[in-house]
Amino acid sequence: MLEYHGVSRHYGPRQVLNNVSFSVKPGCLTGFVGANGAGKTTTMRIGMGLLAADAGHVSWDGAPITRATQQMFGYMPEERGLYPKQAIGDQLRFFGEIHGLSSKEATRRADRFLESFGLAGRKDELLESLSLGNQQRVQIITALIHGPTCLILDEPFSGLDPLAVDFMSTMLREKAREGVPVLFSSHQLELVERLCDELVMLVDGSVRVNNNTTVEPDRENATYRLEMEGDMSWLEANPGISITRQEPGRVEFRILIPGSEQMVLSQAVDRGEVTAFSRVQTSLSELFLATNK
Amino acid sequence: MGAQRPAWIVVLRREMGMKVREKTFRIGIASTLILVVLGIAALSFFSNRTESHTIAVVDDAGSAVVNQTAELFQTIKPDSPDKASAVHVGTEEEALAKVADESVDAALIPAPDSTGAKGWKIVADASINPALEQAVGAVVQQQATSSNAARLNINLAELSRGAALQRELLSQEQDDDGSLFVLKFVFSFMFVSALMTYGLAIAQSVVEEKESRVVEILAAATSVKYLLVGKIGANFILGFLQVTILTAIALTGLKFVDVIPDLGRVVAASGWFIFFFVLGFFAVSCIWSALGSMATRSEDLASSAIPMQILLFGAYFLSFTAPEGILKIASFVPILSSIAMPTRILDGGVEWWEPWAAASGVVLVGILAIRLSTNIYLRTLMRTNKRTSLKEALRYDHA
Repeated sequence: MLEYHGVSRHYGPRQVLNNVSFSVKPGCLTGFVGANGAGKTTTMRIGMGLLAADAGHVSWDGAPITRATQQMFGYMPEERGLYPKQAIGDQLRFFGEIHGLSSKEATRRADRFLESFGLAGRKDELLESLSLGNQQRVQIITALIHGPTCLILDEPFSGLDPLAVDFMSTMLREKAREGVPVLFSSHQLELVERLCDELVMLVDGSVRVNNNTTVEPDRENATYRLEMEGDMSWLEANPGISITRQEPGRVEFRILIPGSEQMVLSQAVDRGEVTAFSRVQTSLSELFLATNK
Repeated sequence: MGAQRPAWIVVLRREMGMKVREKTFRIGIASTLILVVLGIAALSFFSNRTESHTIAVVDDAGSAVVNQTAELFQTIKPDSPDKASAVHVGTEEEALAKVADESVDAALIPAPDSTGAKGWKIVADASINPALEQAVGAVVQQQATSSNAARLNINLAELSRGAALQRELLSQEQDDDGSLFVLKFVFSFMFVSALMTYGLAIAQSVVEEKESRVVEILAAATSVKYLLVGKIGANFILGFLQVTILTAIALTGLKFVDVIPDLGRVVAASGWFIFFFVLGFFAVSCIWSALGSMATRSEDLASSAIPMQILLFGAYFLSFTAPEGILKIASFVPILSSIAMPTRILDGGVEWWEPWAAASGVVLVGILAIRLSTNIYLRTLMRTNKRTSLKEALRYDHA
């Protein structure tokens, strides 16, 4: 398990991370979201050992992390980069060897990955001659070739077409199933919501939401929806709620005083036929917008 | 599973592999080689090259003249004498035919002179080599004088008293300015171009990894020190191979054209050139890598590389244009000395301790440069967003 413990970091006078703590569990896909400049890339770079933390530390399986451990991680930086003028087979072998594989083993794995990623028979082509989607595939193979113990992927879905997104999702799920902790950042919130087991949201360098998988806001601020026959104007007089949306036969309201929703429900039953009463699930996008206001 | 390689060797192999596949690299090697060969050709042109003359003769008297001509050549120019050899033919017509089909350079035919006395005629096709004509003329004259003296009962020794021109050279050195100039030109070019090519290649390789952002993956996978060691190692091996192979070709060429009387000194100077190349390379390679790491795009490199290029080209031009005093100073200035000192050795007259003193200077400056530049490299490598100034690079704390 990869854990951040109170990690802080500044660039010059600017504090970019402030006491960041969260964990990335084995077998879990952990989504990492936040507005641009919230500190996601810095956090990931610290996890990879590319940047040092000013305060706090990162641990692996309970012990402070070492460079040797980090060098076994798989990493996909936000700004993609490989050698444009080198053949992809040679390039993948090189990255395998850099991670400590023998030349033979690196070649064998490169061939296997290229085949399973639909790039069989193209190992002699230069990277720059591939389509962007295929370059992205080579990029992810680079992160996988040495059999990483943990995956840290900065925006792995950016720039991918729907087919490639599907492919990448399947691949990440598979890795998680193998017991590899996976941390990935993304701005595609629907995708994160659909794909992730856990979620970490960073706002201005601080963790705002942690492991909130179903994205339920706290009860005090919960929103409810009431649908019933007849007049609903009586709700406006209730000081325990605040109406957020009103249509004929349907009202959505936010709880201001805990327990008000029960009172509203019993009053409604007394006044007419209630056709629906439910708590409104907030989508990650809504949560994101609300948290980042 | 095969053997696992240390990361710096993996980097080194990739760098070398990519480099030798580059078209510009091959063109560079080829053009340097052509220049070296042209230089040697020019050298042979500048010098009085040895000629081998074949002369058709019809009798033993003719071959005696030719043999004495060969001896005369040996006396005039003992280091690299022209050669003369006789080719026996049966008749005068045969001799003339051989001259006509250019299978001999000339024919020496008995011919009475205007007084009717027995004499000689030299026959050539379009022109007679002046050295040959002069030498044969001298031999014929000497033979005639000697036989006339005997016939007139005159003591030949008495007759030729005071007629010999004596010769003495004040300097032990061979005064051969033309060939020395070309030699210095060729050798300093060979070494400066290697220092420049492979140094710039290091800087380019560093900036390319920054530009393509691959450096982030590499730095995550291994220590960036290994990247630096691998890059410098690869370019050093290529540069070293280039200069040693070219030097070997140049020396073989010089031996072949046989124009340098003191080839031993050139061989020794070549050894010093290679020695100073090794030292100079390590001193400048780290500076090149730091220049690469401070740039963000290849375009930035063009301007940050200018001071280094001026320095190296300066060393190059000094080597064959500077007056002795300035060259002597340059031969002790680190980096400049990598070219200037071996050039002075080529000139001759360098004290034994001087190359070692210059070498110590390069090592000292090299160590400082390596420390400073490695620091800059490590500090600036991950800054892929903007070019780093030297001031920033030195101030910037870890990543």
